[in-house]
Amino acid sequence: MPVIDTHKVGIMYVAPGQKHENEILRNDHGSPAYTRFLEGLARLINLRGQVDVYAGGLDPNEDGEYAYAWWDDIGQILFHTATLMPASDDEICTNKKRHIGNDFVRIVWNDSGMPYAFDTLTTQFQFVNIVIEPHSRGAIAAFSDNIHENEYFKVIVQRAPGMTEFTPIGDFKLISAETLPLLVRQLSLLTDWFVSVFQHTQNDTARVEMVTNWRSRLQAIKRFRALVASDKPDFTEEGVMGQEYRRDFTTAY
Amino acid sequence: MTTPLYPVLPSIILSIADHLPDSDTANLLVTMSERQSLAPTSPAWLEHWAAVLTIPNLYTSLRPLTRQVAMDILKSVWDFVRDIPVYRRPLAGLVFDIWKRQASGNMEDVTVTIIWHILGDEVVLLSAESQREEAAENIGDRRAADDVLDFLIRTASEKHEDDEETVTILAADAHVPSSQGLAQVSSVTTAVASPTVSRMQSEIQVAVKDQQSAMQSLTSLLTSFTSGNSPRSQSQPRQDHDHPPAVEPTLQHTEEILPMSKTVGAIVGITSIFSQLAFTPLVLAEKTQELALRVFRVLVDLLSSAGCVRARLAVLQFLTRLRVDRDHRLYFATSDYDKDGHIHSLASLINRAHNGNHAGEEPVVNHETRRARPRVPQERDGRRPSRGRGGPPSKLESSRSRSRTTPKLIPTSTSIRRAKARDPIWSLPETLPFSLADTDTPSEGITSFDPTCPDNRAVLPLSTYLTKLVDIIEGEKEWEILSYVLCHLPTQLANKHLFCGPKSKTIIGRLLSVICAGILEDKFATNIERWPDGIIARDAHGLAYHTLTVLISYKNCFPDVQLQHRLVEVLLLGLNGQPSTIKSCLHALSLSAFELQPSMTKFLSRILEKLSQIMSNPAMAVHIIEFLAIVGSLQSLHVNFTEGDYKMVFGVALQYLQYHNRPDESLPISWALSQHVRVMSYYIIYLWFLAVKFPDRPRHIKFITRQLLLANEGQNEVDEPTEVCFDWLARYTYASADPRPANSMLSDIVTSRSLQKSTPEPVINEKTWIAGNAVITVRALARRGWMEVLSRRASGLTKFLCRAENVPMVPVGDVDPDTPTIFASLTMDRDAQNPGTFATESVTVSEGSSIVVSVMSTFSVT
Repeated sequence: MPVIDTHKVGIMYVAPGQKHENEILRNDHGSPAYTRFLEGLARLINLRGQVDVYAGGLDPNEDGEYAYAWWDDIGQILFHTATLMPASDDEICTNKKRHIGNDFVRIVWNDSGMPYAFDTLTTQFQFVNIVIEPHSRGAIAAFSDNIHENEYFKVIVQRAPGMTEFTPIGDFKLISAETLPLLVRQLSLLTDWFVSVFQHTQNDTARVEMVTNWRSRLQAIKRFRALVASDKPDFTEEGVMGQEYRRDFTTAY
Repeated sequence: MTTPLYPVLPSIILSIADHLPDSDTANLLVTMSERQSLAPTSPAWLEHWAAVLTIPNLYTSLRPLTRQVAMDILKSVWDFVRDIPVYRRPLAGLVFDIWKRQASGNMEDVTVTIIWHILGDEVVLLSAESQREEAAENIGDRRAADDVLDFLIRTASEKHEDDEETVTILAADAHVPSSQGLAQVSSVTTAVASPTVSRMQSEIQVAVKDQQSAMQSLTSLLTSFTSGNSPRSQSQPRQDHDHPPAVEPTLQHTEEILPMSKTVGAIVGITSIFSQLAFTPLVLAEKTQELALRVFRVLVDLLSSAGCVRARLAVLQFLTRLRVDRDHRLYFATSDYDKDGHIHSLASLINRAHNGNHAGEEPVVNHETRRARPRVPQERDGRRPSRGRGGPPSKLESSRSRSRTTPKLIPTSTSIRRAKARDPIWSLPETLPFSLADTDTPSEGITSFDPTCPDNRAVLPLSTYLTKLVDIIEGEKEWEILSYVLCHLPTQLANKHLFCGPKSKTIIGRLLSVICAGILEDKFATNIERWPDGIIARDAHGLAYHTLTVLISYKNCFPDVQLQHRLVEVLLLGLNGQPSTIKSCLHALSLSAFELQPSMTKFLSRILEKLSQIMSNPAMAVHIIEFLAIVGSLQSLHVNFTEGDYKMVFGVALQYLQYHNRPDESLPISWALSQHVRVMSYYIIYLWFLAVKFPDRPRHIKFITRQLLLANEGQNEVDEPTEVCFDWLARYTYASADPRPANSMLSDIVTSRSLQKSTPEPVINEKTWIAGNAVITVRALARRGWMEVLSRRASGLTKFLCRAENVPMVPVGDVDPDTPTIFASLTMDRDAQNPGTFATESVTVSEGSSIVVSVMSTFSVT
């Protein structure tokens, strides 16, 4: 059982003019600003032989050798980055969609020049999209690396119907490229927490308690203890012989 | 042949038009148009037009049908002659002359918009032609264009003393059929559009019925004259002419009839000029650019000098929709001007938005309303109940539900309007008075900023526009204008490229200081003369905070650190406001935590203090928690925190645990949200506890323990998350060990199989104990003298690798040095820069006998 809270978050890059999921998933690189964003967002890890970091179900043989991940003492986030995974031969990029489509939270870098439709990716897991866009319209210049253009970005959070507002983004926020990764990392952590709760409560309909990883570890330990305690032999003898069970240290040590 | 006769008849009828009913003159026009007598194919077309346009009372409410028909025909004729200067000029000249004289009657309706468009077109075309022809007459052309433009400007700035009266009367009229007594919100819902329209409709329908007989008679008369004459349509190039719009006295046309004053009409003309100059290929010419800039300046001036509120609003409606794309090219946004729904949500805060169809908004409202009803925090919103309206979210809800359930037209007698309050002029969704071609198309020649080559493209002086907005924010008297600016400015500012220029930067700085000063000195929006029902200055403040939020991203425009401090200070002040304001301020502060770190560091403890005061509102919980999570993640913000500051943070999170540990039905937020707050509260404790320096950590335990237990009051056992929390605290109070062991080189070597010659398994023997909620395993490793101690706990797995110093000696004389491990430990030592922390893990074993396992281990402080 994991000893840490694990989160997995999808990242997609939408190139100018794209609006279909297949095109978007097939992208294997993004604009310079997008790349800088990834660098700031997380650390690049080698998935092969990785034991310390939660790999989010990524298999280095199929999903690329490297992935972005971030962790601290409390939690880990693994980013399923579409541009980092190798595109499979099939049209619909099954291997990428298998991961990203199952993520509760997706970060979408939208350079398409059009609004990103909430359900662009057809999947059952439609909860939250964190969309990052240029603050001004126009796609032609997406790949130009102009500092003036890429100084600030607009962040929007798209939520599934029925979800309360819970992010500090409101309708939109403008944020500098410099602090964008930090904000988005926090945001993806917060949203993934909320969506887990949301999903756990069956879209806010069931009144069940959320059980974290740590808590389920505690429950496992408790179960284990109950198990051990139950097969403890009765010792009812009086007197000095009553100490037999305690004195025989091999039962305990 | 009756041909020589029939052109005369219309002239005769027109000359006595004053005595004919509306429907008859309308029919006459239709017939004339069928006969082409209004098209340039007829030699006398101009005279006919002169007669038609001067029909007495054509522009008053007495002749709505005739006006409609005349304008429709005029439009189709104009479309036809537009590209034929020989015909166009005389017609435009005629229209201009007549229109100049037609001074009476300030109120018109949208049907005459075409006339304003014609005037606008004429200016554009004349100026375009004057550039093309290098002849001497171009001076005359330009002068003519200037004449028309001047006329438009003059009309637009004409003061109407009775303006407010008319507006009020008009609005009051509009209110008669609406359900007034119920609530302000419902009246707002129906105020602008539907009653007006329906009233007009019914009026017209009545008129139609009354005059039906008369109309029939005249129609028969006319058709008897015209029968047997085939229309000369074969030679006509355009189909429009053959079938001019028939008289459709019912719905389709009357739907569109909205009152429009002359000043607004003039604005429509001017905006049409600007958009044609700026957004069509005409803009490539240098002269056009000049003219466009001139017209833009005119528009900006009209923002303050236009004759009436509606006209100023029309200018605003145009200017607030200007955007630029990535290349700073100007365009007029229609489809995506409110892409993020921000304008809509702001407008709904002040009751100006209806039938919101923004996805995902409905449920939000529901949740928030559930919150707002049962437990309205009285201490901050004392004004709400007395004023008979809910807080912003609930009023949103009520307005929606009402507009959905109740039919819009309930005739009630309670149409007593207070004379003072103005009824809303604008509300979303809006119908723009102007209809522009080429919207959403970036201009080829007009930009907001041009860092490279200022010669090629004209740079729009947007700083002048911004200056006007600052003036409005500073001292506007009219709520309609101020509210419109406040709702639209954030979205327009979000288009950062719009205000890149150096002048704009200075003005942005002024904008910020004006708003800050206004709020700090409590004089913001104090100039408003008349407030609508249920809106007070505090609502204006609430809107202004959204502008401030966007301004955070303009920090480069505020070189003065004091100004940034001021911004954060004002946001802090906003935490005293109403719930919607608190929310936007918390969002803004979360953003400032990233963007304005020096200022945030300065004010953070005051903000925390404020948070602990306002935290009792359950709907704010999630926003407060997320703010704390963000601040906690940014180390530099709280390096200087005192013990008290940390305690405040823990206090907030622990308090929320008390609320959300066992949420009951009375908690007015959704279950998922409550669970989220609970999970996040623990997260906050963990996150912030890690931020506390080691020596200080134990000092917080007492407080945290007490609060945790308080949150579990009434139960025999603490619940599981609390248990986990205690477990976690025990692990982190004296040291920060990673939640799980990483494989070190030492452990690799000690346990590596290749070095174990004797046994294939690295572990010889292992035993496991349960101690409290920890599972402790001790493994004796195959390598002599080494053992592994594993402590599995809820919040982590700790692994110790230890070496017993009293290893049994090998027989005398033999040496069995453990060389690989010595090298390994030496290697490890080499990169251990910081001295390891001495950690003690004390474990109490249950089952009577207790042992204390003290393990000394070196692990570096993370």
